[in-house]
This record gives sequence, structure tokens and C-alpha cells, in this order.
Amino acid sequence: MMYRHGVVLVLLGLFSAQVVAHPVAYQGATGVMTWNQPFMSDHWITYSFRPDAAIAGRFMRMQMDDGEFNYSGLQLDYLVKRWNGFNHQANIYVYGGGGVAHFADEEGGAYFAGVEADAEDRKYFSLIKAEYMRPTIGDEFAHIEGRLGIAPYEAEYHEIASWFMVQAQWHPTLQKTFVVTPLARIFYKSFLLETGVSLDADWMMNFMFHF
Amino acid sequence: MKLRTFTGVLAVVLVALGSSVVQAKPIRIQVNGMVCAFCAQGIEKKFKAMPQVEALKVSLETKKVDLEIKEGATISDEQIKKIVTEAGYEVVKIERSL
Repeated sequence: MMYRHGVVLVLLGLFSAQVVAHPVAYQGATGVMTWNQPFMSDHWITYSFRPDAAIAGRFMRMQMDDGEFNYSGLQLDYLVKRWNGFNHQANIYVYGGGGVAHFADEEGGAYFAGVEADAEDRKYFSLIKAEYMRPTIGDEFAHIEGRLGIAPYEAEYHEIASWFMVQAQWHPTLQKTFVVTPLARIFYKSFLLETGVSLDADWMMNFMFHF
Repeated sequence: MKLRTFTGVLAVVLVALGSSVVQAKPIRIQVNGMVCAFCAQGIEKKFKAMPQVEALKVSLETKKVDLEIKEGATISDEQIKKIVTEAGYEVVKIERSL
């Protein structure tokens, strides 16, 4: 029944979302994350070299009022605090980095910093994060995002897990300043997929895996 | 070969085979924070990378990891705690000889 439910969700692909997963995975893990919306794409290749720290290559595209902004660079993620309870986990992360920015046929530098907090059990999920990027060209970028989720069933370890979530994004310098996206998340073992459509009909497709 | 002789030989062979079968030793680990299968993959991958580990079962419902260790092999509490900690979780209890 649970498997059928998960397969139905994949086939429907109705709802929308953005992949939000822990920036730091288990020690030694390599992760690939990509999340995409028409006005913004973010891609990471991460390596967790400690249980509380990871380094990543990040490639980012943002659609601003005056054109497309691109960033390529490094990111360092650090787990500040984790609470492991019997039936819950909560985390606080900070991250930052720097790299090369391209905007309106110009090339410059950019640096950024962010903070993220999440709390979850097998039924409910919540997340909030804030990020600020300052390039030497183009506009600065601020991003605040929140997410609430509920699982229709509590999936076991070897089952397909599915979640329904609502994500709110606020980024005042992008073409789309405020976006609310209902979404569906499914994952099985090390593979995670999210898809959704915002209230303004912007699609979202996110994917992540660890190895 | 008469049936009685054949049966006797077969019994001796089966007993010999039975005594050489590897008996897995179970260890049960109670783990806090294990609420998501996607995030708990590290526990499985790290334990399965150990040559001592015969098999592993993870339960998100009970928050338990059951390990079967190969006959003659050992794995210390410290090794178990190190692996679980590196996977991002917390060992509450380790039970042996279930």
C-alpha cells in the first residue's frame, strides 16, 4: 500500500517544492543536489569531511530585474548544533563562501553567508533559512525561505517515503520576490526527488543523492 | 550401498556441515535522532563497509540497528559509537547476545 502510494506520487508529480536537505551528511559522503525554478537554479556537489562540516562546489543562476546573474564558487557548511531525540532531530547550520560572479557581460567576485535551522520527526518537518550574497557586480541577493511538511504515513527504512510540503521564498532583488510553492517530496534510500508548482504557476524540480 | 549405510553417511555429512556453518552474532544498537531514511543511509553504508559485519537491519519505528557479526569477528562498543557518531546520530544503548 505504501509503495503504491509512493509510485502514485511519482506518476502524478503534481505538487511543487524545492529540495531542502541537510547541508552536512555523514562523514565521507559525497552529495549531488540540484534544485531548479524558472527564476533561480542552485546546484551543489558536496563532500562531508567531518560529521559536522562539508565543503561544496556551488553553481547558481538567478533571474534579476536587469538580467541573469551567475555564480560559481566554493561553499563551506558547518553544523553548529544537533539535537538527537528518540523521535526527532533538530539542527542549526551556518555556511558561507566565495567565488566568481557573472552579470551583464561583466565578471566579478562574490561572497555569501547563510544560516539554516530545521526540526523534524517522522510525521512533521519544518525549516527556515536566510542567506545573503554580496557581489562586486550587479545587485546584492538576500533570500529567506521557510518550509512546513507533513508525511501521509511514517515510512520505514526500506520503504519509499513521501511528504507534502509548502515552501515560502522571499528574495527582493529577483524578478519573483515572493513565491509560495506547494510540493511533494519522495525519497528512497539515497535518492530524493521534489516537484511542485507555485501559486504563480512556476514549476519546481529538485533532485539529490548521496554516495 | 544399502539404504541404512547411505542414511548414516548422510547424517555424518550433515552434522559436519552444520558445525561449520557460520553463526552470526546479533548486536542491537539503540540510536537517537534516526527519523529519516534518507539521512540514515550513512549508518548502513558505514557498517556494511566493515569486514566483520555479516548483515544489518535498520528500523525507524523502534530506532534500532540490528547487526550480525561474522563468526570469529569482533566489533567493540567504541567502534560502534564512532560509526554512529560519524553518521550524525547518538548511541543510547548497545545490547549483545540477544
